[in-house]
This record gives sequence, structure tokens and C-alpha cells, in this order.
Amino acid sequence: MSTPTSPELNAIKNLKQIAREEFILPGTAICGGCGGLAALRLAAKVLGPKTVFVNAAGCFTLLATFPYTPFKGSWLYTTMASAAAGAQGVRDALDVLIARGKVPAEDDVEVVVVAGDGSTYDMALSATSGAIFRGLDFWYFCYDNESYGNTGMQMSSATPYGARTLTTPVGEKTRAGTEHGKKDLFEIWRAHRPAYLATVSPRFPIDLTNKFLKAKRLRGPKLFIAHAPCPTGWLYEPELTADYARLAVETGIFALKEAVDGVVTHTYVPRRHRPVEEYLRGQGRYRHLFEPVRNEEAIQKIQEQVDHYWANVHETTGAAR
Amino acid sequence: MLRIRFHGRGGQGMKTASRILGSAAFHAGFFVQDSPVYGAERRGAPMIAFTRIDRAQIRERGAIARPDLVIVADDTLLADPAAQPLSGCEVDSTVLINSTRDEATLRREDPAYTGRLLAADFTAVVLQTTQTLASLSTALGVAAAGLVGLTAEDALAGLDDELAATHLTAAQREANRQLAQRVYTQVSRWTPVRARAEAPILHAAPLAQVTFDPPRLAVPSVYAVGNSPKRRTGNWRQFRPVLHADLCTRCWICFVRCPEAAISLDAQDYPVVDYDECKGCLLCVHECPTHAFTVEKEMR
Amino acid sequence: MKHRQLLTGNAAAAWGARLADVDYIPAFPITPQTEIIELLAQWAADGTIPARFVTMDSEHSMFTAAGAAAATGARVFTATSSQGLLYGFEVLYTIAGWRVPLVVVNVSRALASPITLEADHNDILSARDSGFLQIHTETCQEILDTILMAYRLAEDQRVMLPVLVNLDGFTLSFTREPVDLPTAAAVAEFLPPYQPPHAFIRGDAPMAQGAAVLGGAAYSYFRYQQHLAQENALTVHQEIAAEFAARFGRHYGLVEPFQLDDAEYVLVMSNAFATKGKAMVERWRACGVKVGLLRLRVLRPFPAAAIAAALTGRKAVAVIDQNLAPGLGGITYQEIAAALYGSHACPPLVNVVGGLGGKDISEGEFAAVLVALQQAAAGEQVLGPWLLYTKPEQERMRTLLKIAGKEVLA
Repeated sequence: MSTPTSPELNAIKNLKQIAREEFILPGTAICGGCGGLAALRLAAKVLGPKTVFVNAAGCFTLLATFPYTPFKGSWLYTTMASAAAGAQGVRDALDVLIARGKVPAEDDVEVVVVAGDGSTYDMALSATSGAIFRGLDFWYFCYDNESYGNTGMQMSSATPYGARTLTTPVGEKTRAGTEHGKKDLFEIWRAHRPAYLATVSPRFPIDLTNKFLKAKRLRGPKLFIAHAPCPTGWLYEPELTADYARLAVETGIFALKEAVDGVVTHTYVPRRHRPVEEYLRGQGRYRHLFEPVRNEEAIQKIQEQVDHYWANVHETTGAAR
Repeated sequence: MLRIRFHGRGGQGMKTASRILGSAAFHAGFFVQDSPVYGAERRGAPMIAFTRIDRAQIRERGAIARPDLVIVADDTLLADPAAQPLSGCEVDSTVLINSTRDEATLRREDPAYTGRLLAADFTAVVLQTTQTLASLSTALGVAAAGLVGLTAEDALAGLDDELAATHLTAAQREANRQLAQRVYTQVSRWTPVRARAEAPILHAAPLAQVTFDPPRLAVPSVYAVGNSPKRRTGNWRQFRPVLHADLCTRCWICFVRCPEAAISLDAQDYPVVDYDECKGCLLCVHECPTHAFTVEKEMR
Repeated sequence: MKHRQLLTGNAAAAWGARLADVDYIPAFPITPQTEIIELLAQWAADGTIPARFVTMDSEHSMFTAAGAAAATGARVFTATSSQGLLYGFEVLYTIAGWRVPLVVVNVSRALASPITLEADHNDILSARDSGFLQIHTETCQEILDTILMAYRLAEDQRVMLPVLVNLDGFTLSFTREPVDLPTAAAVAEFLPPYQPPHAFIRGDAPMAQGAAVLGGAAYSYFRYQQHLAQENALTVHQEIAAEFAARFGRHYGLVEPFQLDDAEYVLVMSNAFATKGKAMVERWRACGVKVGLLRLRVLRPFPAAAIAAALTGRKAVAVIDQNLAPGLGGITYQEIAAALYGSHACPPLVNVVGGLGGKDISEGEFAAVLVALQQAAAGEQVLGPWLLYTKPEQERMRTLLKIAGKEVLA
């Protein structure tokens, strides 16, 4: 499933090895300070111009709004549930057209699904499972802002316990806001044994870049879940996006890891985890856990979920126990 | 019927403002219709809200093409082709602009406009009273209520209705009421807007004949790849980051962090902000380890 | 390989895709079309066809993959029925809006609920506003021929829209009839390779497709262009059909007139049951009754002028809809009535609903329709929509209800 293609894609060690050229230009209708766009921009620097972004309904659908497109590459908006099936069609069509001599091999492109958590975790789970199962040679970039963002911030199965959304509001019966836990998409995808699977964060650009470089050498499904702090939905000032991305990792809430053919390695393990409260406090979507009365039980529950996860990760090698 | 249009950017609260006005008029016993229009939920992107007020049932829907009163929350919208807040305004219209600039300066943005133009710095009043820009909705909603001739009691009742739907504390609500009082007093020095006589339509609009176009034209595809900079989202900005090169160590952090790709690196690796595109999220300011960026309020 | 074979409707459809030299076949099984994709799967596995065959995870995914492949520049074929067509419904509108060519065979099957297996036309007709062209076939030969013409039609720059080709489940899909198979070389002369002028995905010519359109004026323009392209298809179809007839000796029109010339009474029918109607026409003619049949073939674009020309001046016309719009009546009846509205010598039009769920339309029921036509011609009010249902069938229904434990009134 994972066979090396190009050996020249060496890992980088510092920021200044990040490519200068932009492949997603400014002027889009995306909120200022979007963590998802920050991550996609960095990914695009590795993917290069010969790409087609296959999109499912979500915030990023507005990246290409007629008559404008920010991409130097191609774009195809499909439907909310089936971007991975669209990727299947594009990849298969290019393969057969190239095989039949109708398109020159040098005009091939990387096929990249771009979708939010709303599509990816919920409606598109089936189509994506199908594409991974079939071993499709494609990329999947999920920008996870933990909600249905484009429609104004409603709950998705990526919304974490304790976060308030417009359809999981705080009320007498729902003191935590969202009462259920975040779906573990990483594990669902990992069970398919894809060629490559990773979580990335816009605040860890070297880690992100190296993961994309590594995946570029592989054929088969190359799946990425990008933590996408969202000022509009999480209710904080846009300039703090990188802070929340960093705190998510340093509190252990967001784990930076990868899985090659289903085998997990954590690529960054904070030596000491900061208390989750440092991440939660300050985000409007968690304010009800602190004001007017502190919800100690909910905060503890979040801390325990995180502690439990890391108790099962070996401290130095980052491998799962 | 009175037709009022509110122009703002996502996050400035103009939908709420239109509803404060709507609730105020409803409280006063009028028929009301209020509604917003936006491309999608986007902080910073231009949006419009409409309020119609009448003594009888309102038989109109959708966009207001010929407003009697236009409220502009952000004077950068005047130059934004995606916004066009003065569209449809004529000699009998009134336009109220939230701005630090005076009326004469603002008129130069659209010399073709011949109606009444009023300007005041509501942002300053808001920051002095509630100290949060979120209350701009209160200020402009109540200003509109005053300008259409509703009483202070009705304006405050409308405000109370909208405040009831929020999570604000009692103290915050009181601060908003005080802001409302202050704004109402300020606008009552202006003559209220009058409903104009409804002119019958005399001439049929010239209709176009849409004919077949070949597939290259007839489908929403874009061949001019990478043309999004033409949208100039720099117009969204309320505050801009300004680099002080003497403090810059050329560490690349701002270039890497900017989500928009609005920062590039020059030949010496100094960051250059593209002010045509920068949305003013200020991530670069916050992330710079040597605090080489300062923040300036946007002026045109 | 014999050039004349006994083939089922499904096999004829598979041969249509094979002779059209398609590049890509995304597939998903559903009764009664599955034989189509099984044949194609075998040919692809053997290398008999160069097409890439892939089983998808649902029809919604299947249509998306099909449209995306067409948007990439490939010639694509797929097939479905009924619930599958509806499962992927939003994608039909999406693909038509992309303005990419594609041929989809729908093997008609009545829709749930109640869930069933035999044919009627609510499934295919539900797609009539999607932007897809649709052509309904009567024989296994016509299935194969129509698929070949459909690719020419879809890929014509004056059209550039996807096409649905309908064939009835069971009565055609699983029924064998003699079919003349043209040679691959002859088809290649009729149907050159697809060379997209406007929509493709290639590294050397990037483009954004399916971009969001915000604003009613722009949306109106794009949507109306679909309509204009469909209108073009009325003439483009005739050009293609004339060329097909010249090359292969079989002619197909927008509609098929059967013994219409001096007909006083006309049955309007479509798909496989039109054969039964034609048989009745022949028997009535033998008795001296001047009856004819108009077979609907191209449903989208709707050939209003051809239909009006065929029906004006008749003494009475019965539209036998093998479909039902609850609360309204037969679907094609409404569209035919609109085509006739205001025309000189507009005939009395009777709306008959029959064959739902594949229910047979017996000779006795056809005879009852003729009686109704004669009454209508005599000026009597013939109320519609009118369901063809016999007394024995009604008795049987009551028995079934009783067996199911229902309290049936005497």
C-alpha cells in the first residue's frame, strides 16, 4: 500500500526551509484568523501547483466563489457527503486517460479532498471509508473546527464535551452544553490501515510540513486531520488563533501523531502537560464552565479524558503502549 | 412605509441593530418586517439588514432597493464594491454613517449622491459607555429608531427585547440602556426621516433576451486561476498591523503564521504586508517575538 | 462474435457502454439493473474493454464519482434504478450544473413505499427537472441504439448535458429480444472520442469547477443556460438520429407515431408497455376502428411541438401514465395538456393511470379505455385521473387485506 515514489523530499528542521511560494492566494471570503486556512496554506506549499482540491460543503466551499479562485491549481466542489467519491472519480479518470494515452503523464495532479469536520465526521464517513478501503491514491485534508461552522456553529460529532454550540446550548438540562464526547475519527480511519494518517496543527508548521513531505513519498490514502481554531465559532479574538493551537497541544487535548500503515507514533509529546483549563478559559464556547459559577465537574471530566489518553502513550518514543 | 437598510461587516451587529429598530417599531404598534442578507456566516465580510415599518400590512419582500434611511456601520464599506451602501439612495434619502470623518469628506466618496448625509463617531460613544464594540448594534439600532421618529420609550423597549435574547449581565444591559439614552439624545437634534409618497411604476424595465452561450461560458468555472486577490479583502480591516523594521529579526514567524498569505518576504527576508488583502486579524502582531508590529486604526 | 444476438435489455445496455468505448464505469448494484454492471465488470476484468470499473459504496457516491470523472474529461457510464436514483438525487442536479456529458441508464422500478421490484415510471420522471436529458426506450434494440446516440447528444457543444436512458425493469431488463450489434469500427465512426472544450482536470491547465455562485442574477444565468441547451437538444437529436439512421438503418424520433395518420382515437404511452398498446391498435384497426398510438420517447427536452402536432385534430386522446403524482394524477398527462393548451382543434384528453408497480394492463382494460375515448369524443365528461384496476384485482386485494388481519368492511 505504501511504496516510496520520490526520495528527494527530505524533512525540514527550521521555519526558513518552508517554501516561500504561495499556492493559495489571499482575497478569499474566509474569516480573518482562520486556523484551518493557516494549516491548508502550509500544506499547499508541499502539495504544489499540480493539485486538484475536491471540496465538500463547509466553510472552505467559499474559497472559490465565482468568478474568483485563490488556487493556482484546480478545484471541484462536489456535495457535502461525497467529496471522497469525487476524488475517486477524478483519480480514476486521470489514471485511465493517462493509460489510454489521452492525457500526458506529466499533466497528472495530486487529488486532495478538502473538507471540514461536519462533512468528514458525519455525513461523509461512508464515502470516505469507501475510498480508503479501495486504497485510493489521494489526500484528505480535514480542517476540524469542531462544529458545523459555515452554517453558524452547530454541533457536529467533532464537537468536544463541554463546548457550547447553537444546537447544544447551555441550559438547565445541559449544563455542559455538549454532553457527549468527540468522535475519534483518527481511530476510525486508522482501522482501515491507510498508507498514511496524521494529525497536524497550524502552530506546528515544521511538524506539519514534514508530515506532508513524508506522505508525498507514499501511494494510497494520505489522511490529515488539522486542528482548526476558529475565532468566529469558538468566540475569541482572531489574533489568538496560534495561541489556542499551541495550548491545545501543550495541554494534551490535541495530540500530534501519525500512523503509517496503521502503526501510531506521536510526533510531539510535551514533557509536562499544562492543565486543560489554560486552553479552555478565554474561549467563549467554554465560558459557561467558568462563569457565573465554576463547573468543576465538567472541567475535571475534560482533564481526566486527556490524562487517560496520555497514560496510554509511551513518554519518550511516543508510541502507543 | 419606511424602508431602512443597515450596512455593516459580519460581527458588527447590524442584524441586531435592524431588529432593535424592528422591535421598537413593533412596540409602538406598527407592522414590521426585518431580515438580514449575508453570503455565509463571516466575520468581516459585508452584510446587509433590512427593516420595513408601516401602519398596514407590509407587502414587500427581500432586498430594499430604494431606502429612505441607510445606516452604515463602517465607513470603509463606502469604497467596497461588494457593499455599495448608497445604492438606490436618492435626493429624498438619508444616510447616517458611523465615522470619525466629517460629512463633507464622506460626500467625496460618492459625489453622485444628492440626499442628506449625517455622520457621527458612534464607535467612540460606544467605547466610552459600554467599552465594547459589541454594543455598536445598540447605538445604531437606537439611532435609527430616533431618526425614523420613534419615541425614546419605544426605542428602549425595542432594545430591551433584543437584550433579553442575549447572555449579558444586568450591569451590561444597564450600560447598553445608558448608551441608548445618550445616542437617542444625540440623534434627536436631526429632523426625522419622512416616508415618501409611493410613485406608481410608469415604465416597464428593459428586459434582456438571454441566449445560448457555449459551454466555456455557461458554467460556473473559473479559468483565471489565482485571481482572488482582485477581491481586495483588505477592505474588511478595521485595524492594520504596521511593521517597524528596526525591531524585526527576520525570524519568518509572521510570514509562516499569516493564514491569508498576506505577508510575503522581500529580497532581504523582511516581511511585507499586502494591505490590499490583509484582513486585520493581527495574528502577526501577537506572534512577533520582538513586538516589531504596532496596531493602527484603519483610516481611508 | 455474431452480429445479431438474443440479448436482455440489461445486456443490450452493457453492449451500448462497451461499443461507446467508455473510459470509466463506477457502479453499485440494485435490482433490476445489476446484470448490466456484472457484464461490464467481467469485460473489464478480462480486458475486453479498456474501461476502468469500480464498485462504489452507494449510489450517491457512484454519481459523484461519475460526474467528477466526466468533469476530469473522461467518457463515463453508469446505471441504477429507483431507490438508487433517488439516493443520489442531489448529485443529478449537481452534474447537470457542471455541464459535463455522461450517460446513465435507469432501469425503472416503482418506488418505495411500498417497497417493490417491478416497473413503473415515478423514478425516472422524478429526475425530469434535474437538467439531465431523458429518453425512454421500448425494445432491447432501442436501448443499445439510444445509448450510442446519447453520447453524441451529451457531448455535442450545443448541448453538453448528461443523459438518462430509461428501460423498464423485468419487461425489458430481463427479457431477451433479437438485437443487431453494430461493429466497434462502425460505432467509432459515428461516435468520436470525447474531447472536452471546457471542463477537464489537468496539471497544465488548472481551473476551478462548480464554484459557489452567490447572487440570484448569476445563478439565473447559469440555470437558464441549461434550459437553452436542452432546447438545442431538440434539433441536435434529430441531426444525430438522421445520421444514425443513415449509418445503421434504424430511425428514432423525438416521439414515435404508430398508425397515427388517420387515427381518430390516440393512446399516448411510453416504454415497454407501449408494445401492448401497439398490439391493441392493430386489433382495433382490424375491426375498423381508427386508433393510433403515440409513443413518448424523448421526455427531456419535452418535445411540445411534436406532441401537439401529433394530437391536435383527433377525436379523443387517452394518456396512459404508468406513474402517479398523488394529489394531481398522471405526470405526462399534465405536460401534454400544457403542450396542447391554446392550440387549434385541441382534442378531449383523458388521463388514465395504469401499470403502477408493474401491474399488467390487460386487453379488457385497454378496451375500457377505448370506450372512455368514444364517450369523450361524444362530448361526455370523462373524469380523471382514472386508475385502471379490474374487479378481480379488487377482490384479490380485499382478500389480501383480510389475510393481513385487517378489518375489511363487507
